[in-house]
Amino acid sequence: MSANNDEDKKPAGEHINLKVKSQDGNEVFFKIKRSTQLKKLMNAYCDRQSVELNSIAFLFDGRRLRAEQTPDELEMEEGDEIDAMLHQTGGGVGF
Amino acid sequence: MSISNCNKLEGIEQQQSDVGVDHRTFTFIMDTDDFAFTEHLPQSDSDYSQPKQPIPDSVHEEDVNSSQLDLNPYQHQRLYQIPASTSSELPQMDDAFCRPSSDHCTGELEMVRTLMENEDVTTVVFYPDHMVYHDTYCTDCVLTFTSSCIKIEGSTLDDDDDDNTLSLQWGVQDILSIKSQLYGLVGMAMVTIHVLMEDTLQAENTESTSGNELKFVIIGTNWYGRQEAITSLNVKYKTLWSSMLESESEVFCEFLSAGTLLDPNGLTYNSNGVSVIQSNNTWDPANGDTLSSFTKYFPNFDQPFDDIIYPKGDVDAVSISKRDVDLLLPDTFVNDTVIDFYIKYLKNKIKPEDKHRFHFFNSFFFRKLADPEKGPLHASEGKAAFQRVRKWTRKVNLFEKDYVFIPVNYNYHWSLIVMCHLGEVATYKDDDVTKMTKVPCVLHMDSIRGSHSGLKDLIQSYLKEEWKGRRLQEASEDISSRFDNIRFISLELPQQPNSFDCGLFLLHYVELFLEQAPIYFNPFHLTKTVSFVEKMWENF
Repeated sequence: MSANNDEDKKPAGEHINLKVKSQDGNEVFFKIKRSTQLKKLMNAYCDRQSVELNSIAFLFDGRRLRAEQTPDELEMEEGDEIDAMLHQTGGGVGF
Repeated sequence: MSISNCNKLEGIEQQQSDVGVDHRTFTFIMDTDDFAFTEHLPQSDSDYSQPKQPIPDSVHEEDVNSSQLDLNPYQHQRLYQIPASTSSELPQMDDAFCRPSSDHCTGELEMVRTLMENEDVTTVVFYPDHMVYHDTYCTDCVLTFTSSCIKIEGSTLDDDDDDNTLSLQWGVQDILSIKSQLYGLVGMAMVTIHVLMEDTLQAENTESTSGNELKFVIIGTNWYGRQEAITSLNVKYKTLWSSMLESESEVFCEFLSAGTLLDPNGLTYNSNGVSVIQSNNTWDPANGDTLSSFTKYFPNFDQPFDDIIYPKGDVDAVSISKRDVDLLLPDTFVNDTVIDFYIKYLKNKIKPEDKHRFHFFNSFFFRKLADPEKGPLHASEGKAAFQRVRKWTRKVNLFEKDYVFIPVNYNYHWSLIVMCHLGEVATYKDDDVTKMTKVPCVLHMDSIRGSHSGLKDLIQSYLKEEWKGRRLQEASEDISSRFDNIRFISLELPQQPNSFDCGLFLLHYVELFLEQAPIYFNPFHLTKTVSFVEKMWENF
């Protein structure tokens, strides 16, 4: 992320509204500073949903999100949607 | 695993729609310092509150018990997963776990080559996955033995350093010793070369034992041939060289305890270089002693470590935690993180000029694509499927790729979809398919063939919508409907002999496909181009 991009975005407002959507369609809206690590959003989401943080994978446009990333870094825009999906596992016995 | 358990997972997924009014909505305001939720409607069905992990865990325990009576050579493969740490890296958990593990995950047969020109051997070149020189790790290494010197080249993993290539050279006279240790059971040789340090050469004030260590691991057969090739370059190599063989169980005690970090001296070789007697146990499932020595010494990652991010600096990097690494234990299900990590690792090994030919979806793509209400097997509504993953392909045109990979997970099972030459659908004529160079098709690779049946319609209808979605201006019903008939081929491949290794099979399918992936793929010439589908896999 170049510094230029950060500057470009700042005038649009320090905060951004993001939507976290679970696999079953539940939506939770967050307002978060563009420069705040998504960790905060992830923790808040998992708290509200009463799930463990490490049972959920967060994805944005198909990319896995990491806790230390920020909306700025990911070039997120107002109203963008984050997918909250259960981690998947498998071994071959499931049928 | 009972069917009811599986259904539990699928049942969790409820309908989602973009415009539904029933969605419970929460709003949180988050600041850097604090946040508060401003609206909260209690959630009635706590879908997520069901514990997910315990299900596979319990299966794992059962499997461990049953497999102890049924260990077979196949399980050697798992040993490749054990990170061999190196003594110099012991304090740094990141390095000890993450990086070395990568090299044991690969067969590496292709990466080790002995260059022979005519009969006259002038250099011997290795391509180890990683090397450790003193306290520097490097990857993408080239290690060259010539008659007069050893050269190494590689890239270090320092993020903040722009120039992260490492290039060093030592004359034969600067080499103090070469030690190699053959681990016959896993076809692996660990080599340690002691070299004089550059500054020692000038300072000369250190003890005779000083020097730096260069360590690397070679996986593959015919280690002796390579060793001989090196020693024939210059007789001095022979005098510097000490080889060791150890009985299999001892080797593994040492190898694995090094991996566990339980014994920091685990990698110390006999200082006098005396060979230890080779018992050369052939693998015998009935031999309980050998068996216990294996299971006993699998790594035990007791010590916590920070999450590892791979590849560093990549916006789409995977974050690997201790929990994920623990899944590399034998008889354990692997999760999406392990799958995605290893696929990224394989992707990074593709030559830069070839990278554009491939696209790898992560393991959540399929979950998102599949209809959450009806379950993956019944998702025939391509349009809705396309809408769900629309953003995933915003920056990639699948129809320009030669190969597109989709890991598939449901019902606690992993399999793999590879879509080939999708763009050819537009120009392709089905007249004489055996003479075609590129034939568009979808391959399904499943280590329990038949368990993920029913993907055909979903993939075909998705591709049709993806084509329409990407080419609005030239939307031709003619062409997009051809995707309804794109060939869907369920390959006959080596199958998993157990109930827990499908994830590893998926990864090995990707690995072998990438190694053999031809420029032009035609399923009618399958065995000529992608021989792994037919050949028996070694080590299995």
